[in-house]
Amino acid sequence: MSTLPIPEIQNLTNEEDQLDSVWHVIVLNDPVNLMSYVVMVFKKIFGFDESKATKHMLEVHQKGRSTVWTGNRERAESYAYQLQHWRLQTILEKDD
Amino acid sequence: MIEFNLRVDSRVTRAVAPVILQAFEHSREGVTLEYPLEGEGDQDLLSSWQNDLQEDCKNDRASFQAMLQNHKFQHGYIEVAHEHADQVLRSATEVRMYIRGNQLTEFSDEELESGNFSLGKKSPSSQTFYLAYLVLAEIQEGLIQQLG
Repeated sequence: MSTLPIPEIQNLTNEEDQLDSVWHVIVLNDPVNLMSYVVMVFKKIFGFDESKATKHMLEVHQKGRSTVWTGNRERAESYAYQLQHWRLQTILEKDD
Repeated sequence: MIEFNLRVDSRVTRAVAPVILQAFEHSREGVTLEYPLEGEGDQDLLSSWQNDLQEDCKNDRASFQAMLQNHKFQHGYIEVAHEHADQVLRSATEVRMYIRGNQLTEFSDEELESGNFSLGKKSPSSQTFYLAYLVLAEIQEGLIQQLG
């Protein structure tokens, strides 16, 4: 399955954040979205295979959250944007 | 074109179609599109984030509305252009979130997830919205299956 194109987002982060920090994209559980829907979204956005997408979906469902991507802030924001567009509750956390 | 029959009696589809339309018309009010970083104080950033997402959501809603207005929908038949399937899926989620947050307040999350409750003990309004909630899930499941 192909991945969605990354939308153009204004460069909203400062240089220090982009160069030095590692950010986690975290999806939170919600009572509405179907399991099959969450799996499909993970496959579309991150290019996960069925097994990896299902693992993250179950982690969200059972533990309330799953870190689905880690990296620089600019890409983390882009992924968070796409996940929110799919109406998945998403937060960013800076790695300490 | 993606086409399939809902696994729901068409009488149910006809009954909930106006309810789904009503929820759809209100659904944009219930959506929160917050910047995903708590404590971010840059107002320009927050506005930009929300405005861009709202704009993308408008396109989703247009595709969903087209599906609802297709006369076949009332007969339980779903017809969605392949290129609009993602938009319909997202908008259906938005409507389900609106229904969950505003019309199914009698239900606990556990009840909705497990289906372990007596529908007859809920208010008539909740019963109708619950059926609409299920029909929307059925539409999503059908689309996801078709998309493979």
